[in-house]
Amino acid sequence: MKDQPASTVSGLPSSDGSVALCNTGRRPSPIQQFVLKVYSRCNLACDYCYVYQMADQSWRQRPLAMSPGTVELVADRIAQHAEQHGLLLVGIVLHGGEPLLAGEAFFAATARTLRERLPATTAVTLALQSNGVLLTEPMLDVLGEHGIQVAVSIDGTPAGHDGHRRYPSGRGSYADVERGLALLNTGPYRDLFAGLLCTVDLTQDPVATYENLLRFRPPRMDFLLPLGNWSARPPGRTEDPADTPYADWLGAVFDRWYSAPEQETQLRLFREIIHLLLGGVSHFEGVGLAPTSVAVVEADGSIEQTDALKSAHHGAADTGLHLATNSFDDLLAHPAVVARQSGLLALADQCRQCPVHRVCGGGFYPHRYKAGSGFRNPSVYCPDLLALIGRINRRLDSDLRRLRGTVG
Amino acid sequence: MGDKDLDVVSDLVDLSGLDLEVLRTLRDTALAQAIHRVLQAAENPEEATLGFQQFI
Repeated sequence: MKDQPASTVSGLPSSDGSVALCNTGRRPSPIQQFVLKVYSRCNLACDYCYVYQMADQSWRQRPLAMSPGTVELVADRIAQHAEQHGLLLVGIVLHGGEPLLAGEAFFAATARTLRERLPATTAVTLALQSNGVLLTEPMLDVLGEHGIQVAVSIDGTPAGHDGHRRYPSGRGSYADVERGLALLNTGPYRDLFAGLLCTVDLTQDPVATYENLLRFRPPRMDFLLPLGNWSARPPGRTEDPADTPYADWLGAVFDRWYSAPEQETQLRLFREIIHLLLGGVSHFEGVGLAPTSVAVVEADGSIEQTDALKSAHHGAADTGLHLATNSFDDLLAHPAVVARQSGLLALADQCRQCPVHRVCGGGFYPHRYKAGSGFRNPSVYCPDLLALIGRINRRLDSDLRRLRGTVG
Repeated sequence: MGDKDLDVVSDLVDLSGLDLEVLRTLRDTALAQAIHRVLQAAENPEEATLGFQQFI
């Protein structure tokens, strides 16, 4: 796939798109979540990984780990941004690759540096997203000492997980993740457990997948749609808009989750859709029209957009910015970020006419890509999003009507 | 944000007509949690920003 020309990096040709958005007089929303790619390699070789297995191969040029000097630089840039915008809270996510490959000493030093250099008036949450196979007592002791929350990626059942999340040797990683999660659920480590992420696999039973994840008692979890777009369709996402396999799969999980007498876990996608349907705002980039608040910093100090864009084309997440010479305010002025902070204005025309556009928000940005026209398209998952939101809407509406009858 | 001239339609769920005090006493279902969240947001308006999807 060819690189996207710079003039259409946002998917909006400058003649009628990004420049127009830049000239709307909008006030940018500050970055509030900083994703630090602290380790550029992984000990697994998952077949759907957007970092290593898709269009962008920029990881090959990155240093193995983020250096102490780069950590200091990013801490200073975050502090600068927090002071300029009066941020009372920032979230820092340590990501990879597999971040735990950086080792215990790295996390202790990084947490100290970040906390020491941020303004006293800015609270910070530290967390990491891991594949879970390297969770050991010494590692969890260090993470606990420094208040670093742990989220784990696991794909449901042993069969579903090992079908995708394997070591380079081909051996499945489920048993090792299960051991890591058992430890994370033990004693004082339990407080570090942030939640689980699972990528949808249509070949697996949805309810069995969900119920197996519940065994780990996650406080939060989410199901991610496989990365794909109009030019590289996700598995099972046919061209027929009447087909809604992902809505059917997720709908079965929704019914199971929603019908529980007591909520067993916070399931992010469903919670956010419900909240949007009730008039609230979403807080993650999968749904909703709110502006993005995410900056990604690569191990070499490059500042990027959400790195799942790498699934679209080589360089799709690039901004040309670097911590050494650029602030996070420079990122806010980047045309691609302007587009992702412009809500309704950045949607495709047909999305604006759709009754659920405020809920789906046009869908996850990387899912909108089409070679030749960029990102100003509906999501490749549009039929599924429409069907899933409709299903949730009908269930909510029915229950609220019943409640009105009961309490009214 | 300059959205006022755009021709859009919406299909949100109607929350009107519900007794909010009674809703506060609902059991810990997903619906009850959702309604409590909306009530909290009404009391303390949420900042509208989207976070990183590949982390929970």
